[in-house]
Amino acid sequence: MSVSKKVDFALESMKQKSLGSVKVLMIEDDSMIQEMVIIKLVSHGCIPYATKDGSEAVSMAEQYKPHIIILDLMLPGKTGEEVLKELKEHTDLSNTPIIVFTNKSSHEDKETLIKLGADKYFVKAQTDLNDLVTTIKDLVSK
Amino acid sequence: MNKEKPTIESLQAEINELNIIIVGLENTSKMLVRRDLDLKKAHNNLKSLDKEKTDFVAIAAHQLRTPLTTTMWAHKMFLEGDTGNLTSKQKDLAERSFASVKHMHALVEELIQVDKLEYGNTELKIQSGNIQKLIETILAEHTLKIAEANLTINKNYSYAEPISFDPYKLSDALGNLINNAVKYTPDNGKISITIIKKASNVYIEITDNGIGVPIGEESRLFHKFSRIKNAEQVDAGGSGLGLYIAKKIIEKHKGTLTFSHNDGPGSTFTVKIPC
Repeated sequence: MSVSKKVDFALESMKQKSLGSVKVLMIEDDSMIQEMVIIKLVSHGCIPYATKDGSEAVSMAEQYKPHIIILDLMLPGKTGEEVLKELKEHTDLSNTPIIVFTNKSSHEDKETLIKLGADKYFVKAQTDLNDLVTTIKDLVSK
Repeated sequence: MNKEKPTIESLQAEINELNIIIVGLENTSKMLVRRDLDLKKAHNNLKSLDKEKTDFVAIAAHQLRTPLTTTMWAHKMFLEGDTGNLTSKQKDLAERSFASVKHMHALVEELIQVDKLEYGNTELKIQSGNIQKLIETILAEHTLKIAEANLTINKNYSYAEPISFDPYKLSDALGNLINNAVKYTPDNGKISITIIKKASNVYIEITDNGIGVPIGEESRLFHKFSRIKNAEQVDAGGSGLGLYIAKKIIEKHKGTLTFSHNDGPGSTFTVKIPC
């Protein structure tokens, strides 16, 4: 089944779910991870936008005005840290909650990114996607 | 007693003998130096081989990390109906393969942790903190399992002053010990956690009345990949790295982790940390 068909299928099965109309921008260069997370988010009603390139992140955020941004750190174009700094200095986007989603698992990395303004920090390999969904719910309800 | 005066010839003969001994000793010394160099070379070769082997395991673990993560997510999404409903046969197969993937994923995560402890940045980020709070946070993560198994947790916290430790790393170490206590204590069992100060050390004792450690297997407990027989019967999927990781972290704090048998069933693990 193609990605779009999978997404359509998930869209159909999620109509009653709780995150309807929440726009999520995912900046992630690993296709498989991007696809998995999007299927999960769509099944909970989110409207997903995605890019694999760090240098497109800010312009996409300006264009689609997401409620939440999920940001990987090791990206082509611009690093996740650079994207985070730009978003936090942006007049219209500085208040958009950012979830860092990375496999950099040191506590030092986490502390640095939280200090830079990330709202949450997830280590992909240690993440249950249901926790990611719960965190999005919490952040949008604030 | 008359003693004959040595003649020039006899002295010369003794000098010759001594010269022969000196040459022999010099040859032996050279040989020992060569042997020492050979041994050093062999030692360095072995060290290099060991590092290559460890690097290979670490690289393999890092490469496997993402595909195993996404495979695990996919299984979970199948089982939770995110991609539609499964037939009972599909569900059964997905549940079994999910369990296998989960086990492989946990093993890979522990291998990465071991690699970091052995070869990564080993500097501790020491902060002043409260051990009691750290233990309460760990116990909170096990609330569900503790309730499901109806375990009683006795807490004897007689020392509550702040001490210096790396909260993240010590949390991993104590987390492994508490996780073991919860995992290997049967339903309706009891776990006691004691914090006391003696001299200039804080002692954290974690005692359970679980399956214990068979006599004769104690020395293997803290070895890498070592699993004791009765633990395998309870949890066949364990990696045998949890206690090794805990001991390494505690030793980095200049502390010790020791095991003792209880008078009755079960085990006691004692962490000693200087304060």
